[in-house]
Amino acid sequence: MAEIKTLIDGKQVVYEGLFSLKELYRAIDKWFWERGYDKQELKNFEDVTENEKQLILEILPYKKISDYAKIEIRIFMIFSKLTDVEVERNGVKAVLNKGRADFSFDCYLVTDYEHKWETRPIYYFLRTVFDKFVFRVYTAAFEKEAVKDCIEIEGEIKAFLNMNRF
Amino acid sequence: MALEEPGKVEQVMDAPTIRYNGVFDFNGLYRMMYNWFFKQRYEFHEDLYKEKIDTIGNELELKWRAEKKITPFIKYIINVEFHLWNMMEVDVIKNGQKVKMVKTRMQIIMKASTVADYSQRFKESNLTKKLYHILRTKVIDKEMMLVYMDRLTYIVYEFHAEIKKFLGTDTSSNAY
Repeated sequence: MAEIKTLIDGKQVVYEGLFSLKELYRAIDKWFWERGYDKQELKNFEDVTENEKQLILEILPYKKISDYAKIEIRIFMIFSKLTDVEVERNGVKAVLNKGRADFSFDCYLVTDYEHKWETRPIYYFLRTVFDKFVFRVYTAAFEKEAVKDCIEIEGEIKAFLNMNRF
Repeated sequence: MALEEPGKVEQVMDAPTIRYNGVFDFNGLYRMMYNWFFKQRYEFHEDLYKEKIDTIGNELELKWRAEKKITPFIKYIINVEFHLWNMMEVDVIKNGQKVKMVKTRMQIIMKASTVADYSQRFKESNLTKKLYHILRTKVIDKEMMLVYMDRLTYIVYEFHAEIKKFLGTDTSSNAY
């Protein structure tokens, strides 16, 4: 099993009000694509009733920064009590969603994701020693990059949601 | 150290799951998905069709397997599993016309895998098995990962987006 270090665990963002779910999803997808992350959508659960809908979305995009380490950012989103609302902006009518959005952010640094250094105890020992003492500078740099990316995407989502505040 | 087996099915990605609870055109979705495989030139197999009739709504289970030989050595396999609960036909007025749709809870799970040496030519003897192991782990390892497995992952995500677009969800865009 690869070594997984949790850098950010369950950072929450909650928003209630108007927003465009379609545009938000597109913005998140595009953000990860622009930064070279690979797409991984684990869950997309939608519950449509007569008056409202609920959506649960879990994405785990990852970026292989070397053949030894990769960054994973997990975003768990729950959109509840969503209704369609027609809004006029600058004389143009647009359909937005009104409801509650809960986001949970986790960030992980996964090392030895190809499982090459765990087939024998001596390899595992060497891997741990090298990670902690020899490659400490590189590991710290990877961790910094992972945390920076996670905080940036959180900021992007907050900025996007705040744009729709009236 | 365990040798790589010729013809081994290697899963490429974590299975993305779609769950949808509402009213939609199931026949249209079925046709759209089948046509997608047909256009992409996959060999289509319906491995399971199980329907249970019930007064509170039918239960339907489907398992599809689509295969495509990319090269004489490598093959793609896409597995799609449907499970529908409490299926009931409803009449819906769409664009002024009465249309038959289905009200149900549906789950779709997609799995993608690659198979190297699907004809198992390297399974003849112990020597050829060892040669295969060296080929698979040292010679074509990066090519398998970067060219074939990556490409298959994005093909599946493209299909995933088509399904979400058909269902009319707000998360159907795909930047990739």
